[in-house]
Amino acid sequence: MAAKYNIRVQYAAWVAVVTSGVVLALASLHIWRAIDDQEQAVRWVAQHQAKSFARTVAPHVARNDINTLVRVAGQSVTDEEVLFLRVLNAKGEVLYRPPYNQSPSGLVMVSEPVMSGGNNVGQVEFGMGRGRVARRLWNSLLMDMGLGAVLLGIFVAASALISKPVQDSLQGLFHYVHAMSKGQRHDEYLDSDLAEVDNVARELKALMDRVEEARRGLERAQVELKASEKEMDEYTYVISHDLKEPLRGMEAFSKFLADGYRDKLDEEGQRHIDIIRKSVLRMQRLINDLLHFSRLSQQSQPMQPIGMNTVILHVRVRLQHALDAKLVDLRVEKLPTVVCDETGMTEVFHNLISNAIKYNDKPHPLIEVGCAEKLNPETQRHEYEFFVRDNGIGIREEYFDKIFQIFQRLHRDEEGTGIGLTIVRRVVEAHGGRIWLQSEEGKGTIFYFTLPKREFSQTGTVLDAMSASMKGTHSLATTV
Amino acid sequence: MRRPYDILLIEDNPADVEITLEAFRRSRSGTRVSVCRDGEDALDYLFQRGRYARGQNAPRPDMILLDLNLPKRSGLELLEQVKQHETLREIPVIVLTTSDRDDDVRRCYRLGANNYLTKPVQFDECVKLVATIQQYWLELSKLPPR
Repeated sequence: MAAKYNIRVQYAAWVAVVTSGVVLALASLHIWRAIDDQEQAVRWVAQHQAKSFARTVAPHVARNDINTLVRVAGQSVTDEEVLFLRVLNAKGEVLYRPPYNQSPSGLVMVSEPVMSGGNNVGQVEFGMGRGRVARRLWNSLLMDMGLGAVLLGIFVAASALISKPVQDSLQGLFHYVHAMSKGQRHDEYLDSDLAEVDNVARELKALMDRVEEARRGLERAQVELKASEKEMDEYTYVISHDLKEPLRGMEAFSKFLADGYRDKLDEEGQRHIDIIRKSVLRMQRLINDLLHFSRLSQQSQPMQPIGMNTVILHVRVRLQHALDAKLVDLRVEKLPTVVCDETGMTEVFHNLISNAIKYNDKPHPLIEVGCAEKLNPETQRHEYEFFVRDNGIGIREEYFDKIFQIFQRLHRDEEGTGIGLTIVRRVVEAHGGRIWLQSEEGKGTIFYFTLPKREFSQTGTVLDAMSASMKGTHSLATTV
Repeated sequence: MRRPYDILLIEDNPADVEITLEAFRRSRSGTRVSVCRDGEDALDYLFQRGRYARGQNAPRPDMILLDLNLPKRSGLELLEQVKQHETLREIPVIVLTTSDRDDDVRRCYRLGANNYLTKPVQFDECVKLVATIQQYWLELSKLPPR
């Protein structure tokens, strides 16, 4: 992928290229013309010198006075660039030729007649070198290049200067959108003199207004949802509680029947009574679980820093009997201390581990509990990711959601009511975490759940933490 | 021989009354249980007025078992009345009710209840509880003299 360069660099590069091009073109043109001019100049100088020389030597040529001619010639020609010189008489014979003569090729050759008394007595041939030309051209070139460099410098500097406000406006846009993605709003980043950026800014502000309104609506809805959940829990509590009363009567009197009237009933009758008693017991268990479940959100528990290893220790004690009965190896890594509700987290681990024990058919049941601290990429907050892994019977993927539903069970179980995982999810979500699982039927299951990392100074209750985390993404100032 | 104890049971649910009485019966303690179905009736009993005016059927109880869900006067009101009375306040009042809510428990103890128990779900538990209550409150504990 091609790298993207910033606007100032790009502008500067373009300006440099264009300026260089123009400078080179103009310089070339200039040199080309100069060459021409210089040629002309040299020829003119040569002719001028030749004419002057011809006049000087004219009397001597006329009289055919070679000696004087040689003497005069030597003294007259002082220009270094005269590299070829010949004086001819009227017959075309060479009268004088200096020793320094070079080959005429490459020289500017001029020929002037020698006039004396109105008669053409001879010819003077001058050959001038182009050294002067070359030097003059070189100087011109240098001057052009120098000028060109200065112009280049000026234009590039100007482009850098001019492009800065544009870059600033674009940077402002970037910072605004970047802050937007973090849930912050900094309208001051959008101040710009550029009409185009200003247009974009206006659209962005309008967009942010709509986003904020939507978020407020969402918060209101969440508050309402929590409130109605709480209300429902209260109803559940009251109803479950009231349902206990007739059940007590049913249990007691069916027992009186079973005890006191057994001999008056035939087998069918006794069987019927037993079934009634079993159903009553089952209903009592269901109601107890419902009550237990609805109380979780009724009574907000204070949040404290709790060592998770201690929690697991309590759970192990409670489940010792079951662990021993199935020879379960429960391995627990070093777990952190987390600000949480102790009762809730005890429930969570108790239910997860108890399930892991119950739904295991292997000769060497193994349960592992561990934790890793992670950074949540969405919320940019630190959280603890716990796992409870077992080598049990596993769960089919199609049931992953069902198992969390209240009273839903996958296996016929005399005692269980199917509320364990519902409670676990409730507690985890009340802490602001989330729960999920991986599983392979026959191989085993891993339950994962997260708990947000909270500062130890934060106490308050689970409900407080919940409402605070709802405002979570709105501002980076909260440390919850 | 120690005369049998008298207990006043204040409970309005007839099924619960019968269950509790049966539990006492099975404890074979000889304890006499009187029953009042609501708060008004209970006050009449304790003050020996109304239909208990002539007093024979209303011996002063050694202990009161009180349910909180009562018609007319609520159990809490009755508790308050009893515990604020000059002489009645000596009688141990044990709240025996369905609720286990923290605020109910707290209010009862604040008003001077001597104990707070929740009704068990199963009858066998009821029998055990009644036996335990009698053992602790009537035999182990010292009661104020009549």
